Amino acid sequence: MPERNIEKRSPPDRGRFSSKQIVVLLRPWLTLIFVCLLFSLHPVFRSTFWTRSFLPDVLQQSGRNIVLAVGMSFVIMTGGIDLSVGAVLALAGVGMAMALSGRPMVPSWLAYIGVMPIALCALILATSAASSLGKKLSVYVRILLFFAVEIVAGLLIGRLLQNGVKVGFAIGFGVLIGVSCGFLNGLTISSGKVPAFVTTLGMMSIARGLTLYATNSRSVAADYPRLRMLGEGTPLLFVALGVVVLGTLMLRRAKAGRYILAIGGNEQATHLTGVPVATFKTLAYVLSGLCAGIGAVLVTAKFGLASTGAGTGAELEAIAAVVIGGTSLTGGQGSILNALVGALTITVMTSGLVLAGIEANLQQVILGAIIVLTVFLDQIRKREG
Amino acid sequence: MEGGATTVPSQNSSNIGTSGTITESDLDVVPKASKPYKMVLIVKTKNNPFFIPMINEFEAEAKVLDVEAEVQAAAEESSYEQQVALIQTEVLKGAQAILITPADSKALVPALKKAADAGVLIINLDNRLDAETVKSQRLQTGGYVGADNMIGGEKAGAALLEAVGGVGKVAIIEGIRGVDNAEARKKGFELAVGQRLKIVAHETGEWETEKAYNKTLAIIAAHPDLKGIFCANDNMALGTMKAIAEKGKKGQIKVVGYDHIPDVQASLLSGDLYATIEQHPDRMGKYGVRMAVGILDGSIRRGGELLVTLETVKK
Repeated sequence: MPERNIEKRSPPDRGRFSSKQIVVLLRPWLTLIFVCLLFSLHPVFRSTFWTRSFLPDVLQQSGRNIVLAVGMSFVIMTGGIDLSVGAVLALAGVGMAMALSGRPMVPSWLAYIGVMPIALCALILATSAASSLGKKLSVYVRILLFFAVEIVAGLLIGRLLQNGVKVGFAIGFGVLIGVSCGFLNGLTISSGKVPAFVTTLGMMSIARGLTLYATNSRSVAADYPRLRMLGEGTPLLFVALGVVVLGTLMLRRAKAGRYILAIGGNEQATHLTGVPVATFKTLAYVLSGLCAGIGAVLVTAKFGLASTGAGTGAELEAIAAVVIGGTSLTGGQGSILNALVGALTITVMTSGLVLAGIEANLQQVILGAIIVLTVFLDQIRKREG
Repeated sequence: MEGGATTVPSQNSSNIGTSGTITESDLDVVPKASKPYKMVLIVKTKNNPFFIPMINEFEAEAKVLDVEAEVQAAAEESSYEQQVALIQTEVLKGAQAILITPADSKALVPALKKAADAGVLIINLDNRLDAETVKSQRLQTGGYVGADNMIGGEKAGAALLEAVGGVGKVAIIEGIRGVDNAEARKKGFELAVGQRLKIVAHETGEWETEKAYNKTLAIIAAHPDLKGIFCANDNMALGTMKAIAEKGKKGQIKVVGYDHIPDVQASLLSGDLYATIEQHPDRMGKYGVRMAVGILDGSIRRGGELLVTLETVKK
């Protein structure tokens, strides 16, 4: 693959963009434009889609998928996959809604799951503090520390959450649940050496089951004005675009981003250069879990309700967005902005099919065919480029 | 237990079920069970809140009538293989009656036939077993308790007709295509509004809030003069109402839902949701137990059918 991003460590020189690079950059936009033009052959689509009132609709509908696709991008760049994001979104959503109202109460086990990132941070801080003093904590001390913080924080926060908390706190709790699930995925995959497909398939089942178990199968109401504001037009876009900007910065400017791409490019070689592969692989899944948590906030805020069926099929939409954005499933390359374009493309297609009045059963057929077609055209362009 | 129907004493005063249909009042008074029968309720999934009141009432009524109750469920709405396995396990465990909401109206018949042959009483709840398959496999069930989704769809159609004043363009957001209750609700709705309203869009929201929201945005864009939307469940109605609010069409587009879940209560009060259909799954659980006990004790004949009364709930 000629355009391995790992080779572009130095910031690109503005004046020296080759025509090839420009094509690479524009590729997903071309797909989006292609889809728009294709649908514009239909008169109803043409007359309603290109209006000032409909384009914001497309952005609104894409918000949740954009956020999930950003997390998914990191995972796919390592050469992995995360099938659990939809179910994790549901678990984070009901966790947040229960924390808000206290009805039904947040079960204690969910509080323990939620505080896991706190225990993890404590562990990382302690380890780095010790190493700066020139000492190394033994494995036993580290395990003991982790569980001590986990249990104390779990008890405290579990108690705190019983009677309902402020919106900000509940949002934090929901997002933490997402992070925890991502961390467990990452740990199992990188240290346990269980294939990503299997691990996240398992997590998908676990998280969906826990969602139903925690709520006794009932959706949880979350009708709080301060929360619902986040699901409205501008704030929702702001969150989605914020996630894209942060993701891009992380990928292009931070060490972690380069390592994640390097792992996907050649895991063995990256390991040999001394990069802690397991850590950064885990990080990719943590980011995906984080995004699922943020997605949960957006969906719950939009409908004022954490549905137990929320996010069903969301993992496939996110994967499709990443793939349409031109990121290869074998890892090693990709861009966050392209995932955004991919998510927009999917919404244009799904809305477009409704606008064009295509029979609902045929919509699925056409959608599948277009996804394969766009990636196929992309492959041809890559080979020629 | 085989051929239980013939063991019913013919001089028994209550020959309920002889005509095939049973009404709720026929089962108003059922004496306590003569023995602590072992009854199992197998629902499609606990994933769907619809089954929760059914389960709760089943357990409560079993307690009242002094029978042993157990509840089993498959993981997903369509996992009929899992239900087959559950039926086999329960027969081995010695269940005397199995009350089931079949995940597939045809595929479960052979497993139920085996259970019936082993002497287990089968009561069909909610989703009706396919009549032809039942006949060809010679399955004799104890009876059926459920709601007629088609009548529910008709009631929803009537409500939407009333809401839009009898004229205009409307849309339907269906459940998962190919599933019996989704299809029946659609059919009933179409029958009720048929000639008078123009159904301009048939989309599916697959029972999900977010999917219905997305579809509604597109439908409104394509049909700015839309007057009403029927959502085949309330979960989807929540998404549809959100889309209508975002497009500033509150009041202009009337919404009718289905299921009467607690989460739509506020929308019903505010008028955002014009009406919804209450199916009384609780009564299905309750009358299911009563029917089973009645048959096992010989006061009710086999093969009866009880349709619980559907209600249109408005503000």
